[in-house]
Amino acid sequence: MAKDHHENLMSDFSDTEYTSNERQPSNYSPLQSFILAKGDQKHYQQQYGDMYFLRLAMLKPSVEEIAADAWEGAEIAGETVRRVERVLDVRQGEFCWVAGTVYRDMPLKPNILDDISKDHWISAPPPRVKYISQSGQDQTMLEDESGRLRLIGNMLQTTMLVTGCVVAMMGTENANGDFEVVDIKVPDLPRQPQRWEREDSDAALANGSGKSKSKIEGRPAGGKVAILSGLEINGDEADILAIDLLMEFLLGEACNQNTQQDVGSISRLIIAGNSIKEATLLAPRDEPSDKKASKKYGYDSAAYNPAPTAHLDNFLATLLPSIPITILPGESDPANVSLPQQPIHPAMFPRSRNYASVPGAEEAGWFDSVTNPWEGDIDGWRMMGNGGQPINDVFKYVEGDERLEMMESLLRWRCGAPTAPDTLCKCKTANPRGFGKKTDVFHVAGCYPFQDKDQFVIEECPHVYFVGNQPRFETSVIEGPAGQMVRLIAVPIFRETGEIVILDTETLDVEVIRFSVDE
Amino acid sequence: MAKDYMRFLAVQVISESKIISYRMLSRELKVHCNAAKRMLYEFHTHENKKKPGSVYAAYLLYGTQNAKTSNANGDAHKDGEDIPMASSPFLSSSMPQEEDTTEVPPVKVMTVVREENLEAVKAQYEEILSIHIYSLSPGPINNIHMLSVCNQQITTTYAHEDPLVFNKKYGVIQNPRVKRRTGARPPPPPAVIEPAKPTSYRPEPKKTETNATKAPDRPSSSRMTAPKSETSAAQPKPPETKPVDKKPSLKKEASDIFKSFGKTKAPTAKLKREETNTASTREDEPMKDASESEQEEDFMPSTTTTTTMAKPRPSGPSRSERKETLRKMMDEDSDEEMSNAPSKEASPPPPVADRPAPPAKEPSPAPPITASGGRRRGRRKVMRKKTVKDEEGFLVTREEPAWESFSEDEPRPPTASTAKKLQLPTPSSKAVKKTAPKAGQGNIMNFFGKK
Repeated sequence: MAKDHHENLMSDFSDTEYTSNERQPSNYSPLQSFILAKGDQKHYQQQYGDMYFLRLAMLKPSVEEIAADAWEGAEIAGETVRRVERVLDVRQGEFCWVAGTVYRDMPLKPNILDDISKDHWISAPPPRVKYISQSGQDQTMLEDESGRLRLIGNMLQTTMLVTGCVVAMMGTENANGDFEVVDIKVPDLPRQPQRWEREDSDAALANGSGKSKSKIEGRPAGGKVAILSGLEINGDEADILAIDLLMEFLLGEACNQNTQQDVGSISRLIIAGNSIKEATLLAPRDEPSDKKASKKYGYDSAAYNPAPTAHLDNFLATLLPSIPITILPGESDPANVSLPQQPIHPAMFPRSRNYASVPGAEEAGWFDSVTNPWEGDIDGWRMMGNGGQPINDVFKYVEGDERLEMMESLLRWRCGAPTAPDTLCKCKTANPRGFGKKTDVFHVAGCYPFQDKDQFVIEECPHVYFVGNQPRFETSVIEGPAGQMVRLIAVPIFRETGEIVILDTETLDVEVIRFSVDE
Repeated sequence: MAKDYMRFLAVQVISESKIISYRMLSRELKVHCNAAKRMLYEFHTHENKKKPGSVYAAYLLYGTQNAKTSNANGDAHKDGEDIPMASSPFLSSSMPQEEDTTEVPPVKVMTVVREENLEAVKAQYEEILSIHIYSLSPGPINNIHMLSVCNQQITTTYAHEDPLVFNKKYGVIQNPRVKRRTGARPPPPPAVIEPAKPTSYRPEPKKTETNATKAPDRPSSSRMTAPKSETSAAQPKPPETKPVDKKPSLKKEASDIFKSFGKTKAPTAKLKREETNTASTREDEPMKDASESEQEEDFMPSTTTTTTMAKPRPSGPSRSERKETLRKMMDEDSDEEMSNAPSKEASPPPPVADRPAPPAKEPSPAPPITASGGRRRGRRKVMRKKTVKDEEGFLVTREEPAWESFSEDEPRPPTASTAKKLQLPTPSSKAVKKTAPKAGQGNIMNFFGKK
């Protein structure tokens, strides 16, 4: 037993000098990529079909470039592979390649049109673990503005494909009119900014010339970032102790002097969604008659329990004097349901919001309530993360539970939420591929109907990609064609695992700390 | 000052049977948390030297566990969870691959552990980086989650302290770059943090009774004040459950509570029936205004639903067990909460019923009516239609207000709506109206005769 580590705390009190540590600074500059216009500027009247068009338009050039490199002039069975502009131009028997959006037709996938035609507004089907049907009724298609191709081939089984990702496919149309896929190319990782790129360019602009070199050397060594998700505070006291331990650890009160010093290097806390567990977020719609009787002015204390938010607020307010916090909303948090989720409103945090920035301020707040997904620079690294919904939805499309593989695929598709707006949603699903005009308020669509640009398309490759609320902690590093290195982190659900992830911003190494209570 | 903390701990832990964590102690004595940890240690050894087993400790361990055992732990935990069925096959299939493709980073584990399990838990650690006493309690802790009570108390008791000033004293890691909005201090946390705390408190029945009897006198703000009064009763008492001879003492407490409620029990039940009766009659009324009794009702469902809401959540056996023990622990308070709350809800009516219900007020209509010499007479405003020919020769019909006098023999105009409007502002009128039909409607002489 290493006695020298801890003997001082297991001894009688002596009136020696006890010092406080100082926390390392965190260099933080978030991007506002996913902030939606407010009030009148935000419309939900647009067609979602435009999003697919925009996504394809943005990603087609890159994926065609990659495909051309690979397949240009390739010969299969003595036949040269030809490039085809549109899906409809594919001719039977000719080897060719074409780029388009994948669409997976799955009978088990929730479908808005079924809902409308069967008038099924009342009873939503129970949420499914997977959309995959065992009877093999699933079909994969490739579509663009012109039409759709039904796809077959072994390639489909070995490659991860979900609705909404943009790929290039090489193959031939057979006698049945199905396109037999021989090879698939994805857009792959986009350009990755250099570390400190934004800060350097700002500095260069400010200085007028390349004086930023000196600034790099003057930069303090980056600290560590703690990432956690799924606190799932629900007012049930049975799990509070683990959260208490977490709080005491981050404050540097628990443990001995050595450990407290280590904790001092944790310069920021990121909470990646699901801080609050909503017991009943949406009341089932088939009992409005009962509800009517208890209609009251103001909030109905029977339907709303303020304890979880109050507890979260206390947790944050206790930590904030010591450590800056970035909080993303998640599926169960009190924010809008459709992606991009907008920041949790400061009114939810009566105590913590004093540390937030004043509305309209340029500078990011000490306590930063941000969007989900979110991206920004921490200690020079581009970080990108979400509360887990995109991955949890992709999970339903594919066999297995390889979360890291799904995360990698998302980055290589350059699409942060490919299944939005198709299936990515809370309870009811929009399948608004050109049809879904969102006028029905009961309908929860997958995402905001972007008009000018599909905001989920990843244009700059992050250095760190974290996804919250995953079943277990996992991490790996993937590499892109141009030498991009991305650290993937699947952040576990704290309530279930008691684990938080500590990311070293100098080395991008990751470690896990688990908080447990001996029952 | 030398041994002040020993005396303080003796009072808190032994005399008042409280759980004291190192955090709590550092706040109480305004000392560095590391100093507090050592004070706890000194007190613990000192007391147990005098009398073994008189003070129990919980320890906080921090260190590394090797990946194998920690993985196994993780799996075991997961199996117990109520995840969709598919999870376990995936786990087994993905486990081997995980070792190839993904790194297994070191796992550091922080555990809070009871004194008796300390050695067993220590054995799971590869290296222990830190160990210290987390808290002291006068007896073994049946439910380790009780320890969170300390932090809850800290958030409520020390909310007024400015963390930027005091944290340094407690040894919290300082951050000179912290940005806080100037201006108003953050409001203190609301008194009700948890709807059902694991504290087994025992609000004196007297207190709640006075509360209840006061209720009708208060303005219609009962929703705000009611929960507060409950927690204020709750706070001073939390560690009641701690004594060593826990089970029997708790039993006694419980029966005490029932006994103390025994007197009020019968009336409460009766009153409750009355209340429901009146409630059912009230439902027919179309008008829904914010009357007091209605708000009292508001409060009730909130307590019941919050407690029940926690139950149905699906969770694994470990959690449900934990909850079970918690519930056992809280049985007493949940019981008394039940018997307590209805009394609160039901008690407002009695004074109302006792109070002379002025039956004369009910039928009397709008003010301008004067009843002199047994005869009703008065003037009222009516709208009269007037048709005139204007300058251009068109017939114009106009409605004009006019006063007309009336007397008893005339049929009464439909002034019901105005009467209602006039009654609105007086808060108790509703209750009066409610009880009036029962007591007052029958025979007015009954009422006067009794007195």
